[in-house]
Amino acid sequence: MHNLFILLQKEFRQIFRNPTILRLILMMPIIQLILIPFAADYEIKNISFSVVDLDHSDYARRLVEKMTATGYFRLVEYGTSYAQSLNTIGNSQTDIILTIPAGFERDLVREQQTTIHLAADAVNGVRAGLGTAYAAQIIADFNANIRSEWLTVPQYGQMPRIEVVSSSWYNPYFDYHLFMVPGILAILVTMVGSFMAALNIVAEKEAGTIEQLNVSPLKKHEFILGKLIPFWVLGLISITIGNIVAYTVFGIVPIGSYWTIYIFSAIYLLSVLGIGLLISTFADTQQQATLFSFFFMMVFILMGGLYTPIESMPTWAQWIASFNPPAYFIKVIRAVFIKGSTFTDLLPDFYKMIGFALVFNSLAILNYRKRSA
Amino acid sequence: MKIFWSFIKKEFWHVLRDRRSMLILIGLPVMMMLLFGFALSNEVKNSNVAILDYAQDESSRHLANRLESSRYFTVSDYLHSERDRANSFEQGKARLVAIFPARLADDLAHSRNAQVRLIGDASDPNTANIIINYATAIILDYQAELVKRQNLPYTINIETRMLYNPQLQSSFNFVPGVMTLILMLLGAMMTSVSIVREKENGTMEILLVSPMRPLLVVLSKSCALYGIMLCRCIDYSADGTYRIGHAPARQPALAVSRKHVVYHHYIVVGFAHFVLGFVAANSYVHLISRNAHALACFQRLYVSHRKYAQNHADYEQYRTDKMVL
Repeated sequence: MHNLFILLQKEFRQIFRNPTILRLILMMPIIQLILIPFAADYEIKNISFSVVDLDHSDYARRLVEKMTATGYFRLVEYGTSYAQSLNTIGNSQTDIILTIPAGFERDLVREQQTTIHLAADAVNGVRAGLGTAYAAQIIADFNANIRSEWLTVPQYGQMPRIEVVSSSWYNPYFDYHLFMVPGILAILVTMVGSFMAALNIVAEKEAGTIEQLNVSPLKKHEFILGKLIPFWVLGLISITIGNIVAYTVFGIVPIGSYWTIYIFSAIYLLSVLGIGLLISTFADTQQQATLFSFFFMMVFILMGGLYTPIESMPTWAQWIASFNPPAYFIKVIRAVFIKGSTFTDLLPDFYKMIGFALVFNSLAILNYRKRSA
Repeated sequence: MKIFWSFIKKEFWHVLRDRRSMLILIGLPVMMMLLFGFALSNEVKNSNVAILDYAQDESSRHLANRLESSRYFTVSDYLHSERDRANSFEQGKARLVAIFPARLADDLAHSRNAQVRLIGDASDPNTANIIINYATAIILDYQAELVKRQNLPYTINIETRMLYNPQLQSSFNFVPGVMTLILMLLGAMMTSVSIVREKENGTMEILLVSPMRPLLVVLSKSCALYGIMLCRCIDYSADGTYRIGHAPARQPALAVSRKHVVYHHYIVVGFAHFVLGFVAANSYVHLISRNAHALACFQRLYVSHRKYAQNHADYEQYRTDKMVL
């Protein structure tokens, strides 16, 4: 116990006397949280559309006005032909082309029906899907208006009608920052936890000071604990800074309790620190440690559901994702922040995180060799 | 020139004879492309739906079956009370709750008007939006079947066409993005590592006293890695074509994307040297600061993948135009 205490003292001194680490711990949360939510904004707004109006009728103009009035759509071009507007899609100036055929109004009144053509730039599938869905809603609404101008619809009509009323909970205004910020907090903790710990031990290996630790009477677990605890504390500090930034910059506070977040962060940090220590036992140089870390970070982030939902991955990828600790933490921290999930709601994830922490740390302890090979 | 050439050769041998960096250069990207090319997608499929069915009649069962049988939804749970509904969101068990009112079938048959409620978990805004739209479409489809194609007067039909990517596969969007990301990481990493390694081994001194100007030393390093990376790009396209099936399949796009890759590379390698210019012998600081860069890289991904997609779009447009003409 005494040994551990002395080692801790040494580690803390080392960290606090290294201005780079301190700056990193302080600045990383701030910069990441301020920069990334704005950059990685997938919110679908300001869909630009061009109109190819071949009809020039009263109805056509009203429809276009209705589209622009909603605020979702920005009219960028009043084209003369479809082929010409297709070019603007090619240059990414427009997302959607609305083609109103010649005789639109006449057909609608005389033939009782007419067709409108929507073409969307589907390279970004989500944008295209949502854009056309919005447009279809607006057109249907317009259609209903026109119909009510021509006929009075009897209240109990001949046709059965199902009315679909939808509501969106937790984030009714579809604010994308509310979704991204907690996820980035989770990534932050992951980076602090795994990489700084990994690089720390490897730095000792490179500097040769690990030999001194190896010949000391320290036990294996004391050594691992001594490396683990300082970064655990730093991780908690950086998540605190992250919380403060989330509140001051984005005004985001968890609906659930801060206690839940901190309990989960504490356990989660243990498991990522375990990963970091495991990497450090494999790597001999900082170069290798960085390469490993890069690789793991990419897998962690991209398979963790930060950008793309996990359910939409194929089954084998979901299986991989289920062994990805950040996936659980991202899910948990989002649930607590946005939905106000309580600790008991998230109990299964809690057990899994404890499992990860135990497995990774014991692997790290087992894998750490005092004897040089 | 001859000296410069021999420096480039030296750099090539450095990389080619180091088995570990060859492994990283070739093995890692292929693995990542496969992993992410297949795994990442924005498409909504198999989303969990919980159903709160007050009706328990023919219509409500029809609707539930329709939701279940579409590839977008899986009915995960049948709820029994309003309270369960919040629980299923908070425990993350469902993304959508569909509520069918009591006497749904009766209402449809007699008063000819019924209301179905959909509640989406908008903690993931876009997904919630898409899911609600799909579910609405499915329910309205059921309605259309009840109506049996009776034409309403004054109807505007909407014909939608998804250009370039009719199935809305998100791999079109992600595969080029991941490619960019990997090239970026590797480009920046390999070049900076190659110089830092010289510093660590002390061979930098030898290079500095050689008749080469420092600029040319750095340039020769870029040239070598540049060449190797270009080979990687070719095998990316191959990866894409054979494994993912999305990469440009015909000449024009191949040329365009290759050109783009080259530019991108040029920037990346340049960037790495730029970073190095500021890096003192203290490689520890350097390595850590590069880690902090990792996420900045991701942000770059989303800037540059647009351009990639753009190239792709150009090509596809060329193809569609040809088809139309």
